[in-house]
Amino acid sequence: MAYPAAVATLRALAQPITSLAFHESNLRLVSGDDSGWCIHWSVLTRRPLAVWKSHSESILTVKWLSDDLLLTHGRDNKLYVHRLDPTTLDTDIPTPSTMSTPDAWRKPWLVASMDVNALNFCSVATLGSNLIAVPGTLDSDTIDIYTLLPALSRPYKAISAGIKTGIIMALALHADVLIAGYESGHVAIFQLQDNGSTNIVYLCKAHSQPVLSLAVHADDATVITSGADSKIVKHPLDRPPTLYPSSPKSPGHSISENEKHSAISPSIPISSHDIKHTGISSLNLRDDGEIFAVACWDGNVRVFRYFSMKLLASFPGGRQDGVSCLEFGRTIIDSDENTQETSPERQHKEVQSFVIGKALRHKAEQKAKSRHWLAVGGKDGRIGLWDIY
Amino acid sequence: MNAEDTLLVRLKRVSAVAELPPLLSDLNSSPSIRQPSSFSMQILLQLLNATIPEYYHALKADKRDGGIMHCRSIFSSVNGLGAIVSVIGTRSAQVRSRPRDETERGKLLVLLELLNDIVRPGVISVLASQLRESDKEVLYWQEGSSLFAGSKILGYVGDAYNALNQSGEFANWKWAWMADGKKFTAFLAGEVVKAYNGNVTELARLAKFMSRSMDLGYPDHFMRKLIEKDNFYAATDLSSALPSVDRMTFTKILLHYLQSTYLDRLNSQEADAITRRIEALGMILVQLVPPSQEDHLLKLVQAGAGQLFLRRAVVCWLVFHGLHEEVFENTLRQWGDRIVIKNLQLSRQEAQTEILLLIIPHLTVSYIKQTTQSPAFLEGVSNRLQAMRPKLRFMGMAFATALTARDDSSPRLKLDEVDGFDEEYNNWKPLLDIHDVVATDESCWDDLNDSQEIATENSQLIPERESGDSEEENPHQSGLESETEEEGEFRPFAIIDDGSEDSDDDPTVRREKVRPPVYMIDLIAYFNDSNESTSAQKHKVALMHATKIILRKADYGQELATTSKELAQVLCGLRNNFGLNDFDQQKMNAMIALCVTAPETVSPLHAEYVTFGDYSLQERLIMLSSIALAALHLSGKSTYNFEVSREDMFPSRLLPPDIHARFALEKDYPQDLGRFGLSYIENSVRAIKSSSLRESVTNAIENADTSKSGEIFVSRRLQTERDQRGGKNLAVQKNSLAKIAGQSFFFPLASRWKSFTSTLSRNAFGEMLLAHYVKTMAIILNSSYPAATDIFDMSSELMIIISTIRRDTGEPSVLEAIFTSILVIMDVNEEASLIQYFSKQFLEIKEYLEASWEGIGAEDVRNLAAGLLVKISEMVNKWQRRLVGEYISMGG
Repeated sequence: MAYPAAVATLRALAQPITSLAFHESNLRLVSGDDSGWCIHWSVLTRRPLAVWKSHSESILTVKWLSDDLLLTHGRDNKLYVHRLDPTTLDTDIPTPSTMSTPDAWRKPWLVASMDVNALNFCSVATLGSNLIAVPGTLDSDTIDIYTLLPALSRPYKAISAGIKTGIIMALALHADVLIAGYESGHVAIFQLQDNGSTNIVYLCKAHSQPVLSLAVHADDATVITSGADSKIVKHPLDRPPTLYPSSPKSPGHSISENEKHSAISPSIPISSHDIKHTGISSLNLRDDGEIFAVACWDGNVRVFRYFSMKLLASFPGGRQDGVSCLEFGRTIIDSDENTQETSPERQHKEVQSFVIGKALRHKAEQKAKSRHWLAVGGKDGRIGLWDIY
Repeated sequence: MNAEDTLLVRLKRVSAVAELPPLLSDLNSSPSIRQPSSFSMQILLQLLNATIPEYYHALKADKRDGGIMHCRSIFSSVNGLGAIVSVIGTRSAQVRSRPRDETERGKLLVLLELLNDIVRPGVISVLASQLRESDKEVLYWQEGSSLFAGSKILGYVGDAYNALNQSGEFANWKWAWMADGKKFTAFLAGEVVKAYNGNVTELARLAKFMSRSMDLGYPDHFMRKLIEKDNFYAATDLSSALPSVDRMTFTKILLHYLQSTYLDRLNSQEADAITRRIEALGMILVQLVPPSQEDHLLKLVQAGAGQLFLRRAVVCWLVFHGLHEEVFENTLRQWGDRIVIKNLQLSRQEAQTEILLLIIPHLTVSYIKQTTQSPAFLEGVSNRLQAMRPKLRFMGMAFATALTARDDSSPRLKLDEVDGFDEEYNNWKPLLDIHDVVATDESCWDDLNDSQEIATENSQLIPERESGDSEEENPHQSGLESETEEEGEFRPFAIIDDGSEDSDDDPTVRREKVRPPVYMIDLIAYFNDSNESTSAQKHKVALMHATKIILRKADYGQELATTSKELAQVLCGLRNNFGLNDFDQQKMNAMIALCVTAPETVSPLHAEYVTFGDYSLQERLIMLSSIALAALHLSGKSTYNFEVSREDMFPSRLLPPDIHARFALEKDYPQDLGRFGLSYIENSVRAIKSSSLRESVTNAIENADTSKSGEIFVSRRLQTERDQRGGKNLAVQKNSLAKIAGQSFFFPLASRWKSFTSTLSRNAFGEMLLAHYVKTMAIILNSSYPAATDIFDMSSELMIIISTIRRDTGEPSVLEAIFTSILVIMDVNEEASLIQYFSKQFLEIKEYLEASWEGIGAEDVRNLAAGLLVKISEMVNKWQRRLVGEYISMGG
C-alpha cells in the first residue's frame, strides 16, 4: 500500500501557516499565517471565501467558537472574536506588493477583543464559546481563564503548578479541568472549582523537552501530549485525588517541598511512546477519537491509532521546508442530512434544490462533508488536504 | 570592427536559442577559437558564463540545426577544456559558499554536463590530431597532459562533486564518473590505447602521458585496462617507449598488479592451473619488461615476502631471455657471502634461496657440474654451514643437496641424519620439480581471465542486500499481518520514512538510516563511504560492528580470506573524521580481530605499513599494537578482551600527530601508555620483566651443575615451569601462534627493520615508535615460546636489531625495550646455546650495563638494567669456563 497522497493543495501567501481550524460543517477551513493574515477557505471549491489581516504579528490560534464566531489570537497580544459573513468580505489573496496595505481588505465584524499575553507562543484554549484560557498577563508561568459574555471577566487567575516549570507552552480546557503543558516538560491537570479556586490533580514531568502540543480524548478520559523530544505521552484525565491545592502565586501561600514531593510522586502517565524522531510540533486528535496525527520537525506527518498508539501512516506533509500545524476535519456532523436521509423533508429539499438548479452543488457538498479531511499547514504557505481513514 | 569583434558582439546579444546555431557555426569555423588568445578567451568565457548555462539544454533538445555539435566542437580543444575546467573551479567555490543557491548549482551542473559531453571516448585522439597541426605542439601536449593525466579535470570535477553534495542532496549525475579516480584512470588507459592505435609518431608522448596517468593514484586500474588481450599490443609498445626512470616505476606497478590480481588468491587452485597462470604471467613480463630491467626486477621480487608465484614468473622471464645462468651465478655469489648471511633479513635470504632453487631445473648438466666445482658454490655452502642459525644452515644444506643431486659426477651430499633438516628440505624440494616456461600461445589469456572470474565469483558469493521492502527489514510491516483484522478500516499505509532518522545536529534534517553491516564487504563499503549525509553514521555503525563481524566470519566461508587484506588496508588508514567516541579503541579491536583471524595476510601487511606509507604516529602505533596483541591472544597466554570498557581507553582525543610526536617526551610518555593499546603492551612487558627477573634474583646464588654429561638443555623458563608443576598434571595450553609466529608476525617486522630505521625512527617519529617496534617483536617472541620451531632464528634477528640500536640511544623508553628484549631472549633460549652463539654480545651487554646502568635517568628502567645485569652476570658466572674456552678459541 502506497503512502497517502494529498487530494488538494490550497495555496495561500508565501508565509508559514501557523494555525488551522475546520468549520463544524466540514466544508470550510480557516488558516492563519505568520504575517497575521487569515484566509477562510471553501473546501469544496478550494478557493478563499474571505481574506483579511487579523493581526499585525504572527497568528497563534484560529478557532471556531460557534457556527459563525471565529476566534483569532496573535503575537501582537490581541485576541479577537469575529462574526464571519463571507459574503461581505474580499476574496483576493494578497500579493507581496499589496500585502503592505491590509486596510484595503474588509475585515469581519468584531464581536469581542481583549489584550492577552502572547509572549510565550502558547495557543489559547477555549471551552464552548465563552471560556478562554490564556497564559497569565503578568507571569508567563501561570494561566488566566476569562469569560467573554455577558461581560469580560476573569473567574480564575494566575493558576500555577506550584513548582518551577518554566513558561506555559500548551493549554486545553475540558469540562471542569484545565490541562497545561510547560516548558520544563511538565504536564499538569487542574480541577476548576466553582469558587474560583483550582486544585492540581495531576503533575508529571512527561517530557525531557518543552511540551508543544496536547489534545484531550473526552470519551477515553485521557490526554496526550507531545513535545520537542520524540515522545508522545498519554495521561489520565480522571485522576480523582487532589494532589494539593493549586494556588495563585499569592505572597502568603507556599507549598512545602515535602508536600510537593509526596504529592507529585503518584502522577504517572498511562503510557509513553517514542516515535524516534525529535520534535513533534503539532498534535491533533480527530473528533471520533480513533486516530491522531502529529506534525514533526523532520517535515513528516505521522498518523497513529489512539488506543494502540500504532503508526498507521507517515508521509511528507509539505515541500522541503517542513510542516508547522495540522488539523482534522469533522467526521461527526450534526446535521439533519446525516440523520434523516430518507425523511420526506429531506426528499422535498432535494427536489427543491434540483428545481433551482443546485443539485450538483449539493451533491458535491455532501461528498465533501463526508470526507475525512486532514489539513496540513506547511512552512511554504501551502495547505495540503488529505482524505484519510 | 573586425570579424572577431563582430562575433563577440553577436554572442553577447543573443536573446533566443534560435540565434545560436549559426553563430556557433561561425565561431567553430574561426581558426583562432582553439588557440590561446584574448579573443578565444573572451568568447569562451562569454559562452561558459552566460550562453551555455542559459541555452545548453535548449541546444541539446534542438538537434536539427547542429548547434550542439558546433558547441561541443568549439570546446573540444586543449584551450576549450582548460576554460571549462577553470570556470568549473570558480563556480564550485561559489556553490560551496552558497549551497542553497539553486541558480549557481544549475550553472555548475550545466558546465559539468558539457564537460561530460566532451570528455568522451576518443577525446585524446581528437586532441592529438589537433595538436599535430599546431606549431606549438609540445606546449599544447604538456597542457593537455596536465588536464587529463595531471589530475586537473579529476581534481576540479571532484571538487565540484563535493560542493554539490554539500547540501546532502545526492543525485546520480552522469558526469560523476569524472570525479571518481578509479573510473577516470581506467578511462584514460582506454584513451591512451585508442590514441596510440599503432601510431608510432605519438609513441613517446603517449608513453609519457601514460606514466603521468599512473601517478593519479590508481595505477592498478590503469594497468587493468592495459593488461587486456585487445590492448596488450599497445601496452607493449608504450612500455618500450618509457624513459628508464619511468620504466622502473612501471615495472614496480606491474609486479604489484600481477601479484594482487592474479596471484594473491591462487593457493586454492590446482597445480596445473597455477602453472598455466604463472606461464601466462611470464608471457606478460616478457612483453612488458625488457632484459635491461633484470637487476631492478630481482630486487623487487626479493623484497616481497611470500611471493613465490611471482618469483616463479620472474624465473620464467629470466629463462626466456637466457639470463638465468648469469642471475644464478650472481645470486649464488651473494647468497654465499658471509656478510649477507649474517646481516640480510631472513625473508630476503629465503627469497634468494627460492630463486636459486627455481633456476636449478633450467640449468644444463654441464653448467651444474661446473658450478658444483666452482669456488663460489663451495665457499657459499661452507659459509652457510658455518652460520649459527639453523634456518640459514638448512638453506645452505638444501641448496647443496638439490644441486649435487643433479650432478652425477660429484659425490652426493647425505644430510638426512642432521636433525630437523629432513623436514626443512621437504619444504624446499617441490621447487625443484617446477619447470615453468613462458606461454606462447594465445590461449594463455584464458588462464588469466579465469582469475578475474574467480575474483568476481568470490565477490558475488556475498549476496547484495535488498534495500527496501523485504519483510525482515521493515519492522513496521512485518508485524502487520496478524493485526490487520483488528485494525479493520485503519489499515496502515506504507511507512515511507522507516529508512530515515533525525540528524544529530538538526532534527529537521532527515538522514538515511544506516543498517548494521552484515558482510565484510559491507564493512569496507561503509568505511569507504564518502556521501556527506551518511558517511558519519556509516563509519560509526561499521566501527561498532567490525570486530563482531570479523570474529564471526573467522570460521565461516571464504569471506574473510577474500576481503581481509582490503579491510586491513582500510582500517590502517581510517581516521576519526567525525569525532566518534571510542574510535581508537574500536578501530584497534577490529584490527586485532583481523590479525587474529587472518594472521597470514594481515600481520605482514601491518608490518609493511608501519614502515611505509603515509601514516601518522598514532596509526603506526595502533598497527604495532594490533600485531603484538594478536600474537598474545593467539598464544593463549593473554586473551584479548575485545569488549574493552571505556575506562581502559584514553579519555580525550590526541593532539594532531605531528605536534603530539613533538611533545611525546619522556615525561609524558607514561601518561600515553593508555593510548593505542600501549597499556596492554606495557602490562605484557611488565609481566615478562617481573617473571624473568624474579627468577634471576631468587636464583642468583644458585649454582647449576652443568658438568653432567648427556643432559638435555632446556631453557631456564621451561625448567622453572617444570619445577613449579612438579608432579601435578596441569592442563596443556594450546599455542596457536607457535606455527605462524615467525612467518606471519616476527619476520615481516624484522625484514622491514632496515627501512624502518632508515626512514622513520631517526627523524619523524623517534624513540616512541622505535621502542614500541622493539617491544612488539619481543612480545611476539615471548608469546611464541615454547612451541615455535624458529625461536632461535627469531632470537638471532632480535639480537642483531637491538645491537644496532643500543649504542645510539640513551632514551629510557628505548632502553627499556632493549632490556626487555634481552630478557625475553634469555628467557626463551637455553643458556648453553646463548653462550655458544651470543657470547660476544652478552659480554658486551654486560660491560655496557656495568658502565652505564647507574646513569640511567628513569628509575624503573634503571632497576630493570640492574636486574638484567644481575641476570647476565649470573649466567656468565655459571658458564665462565665455557666462555673462557670460547675466547681462547676466538684468539681472545
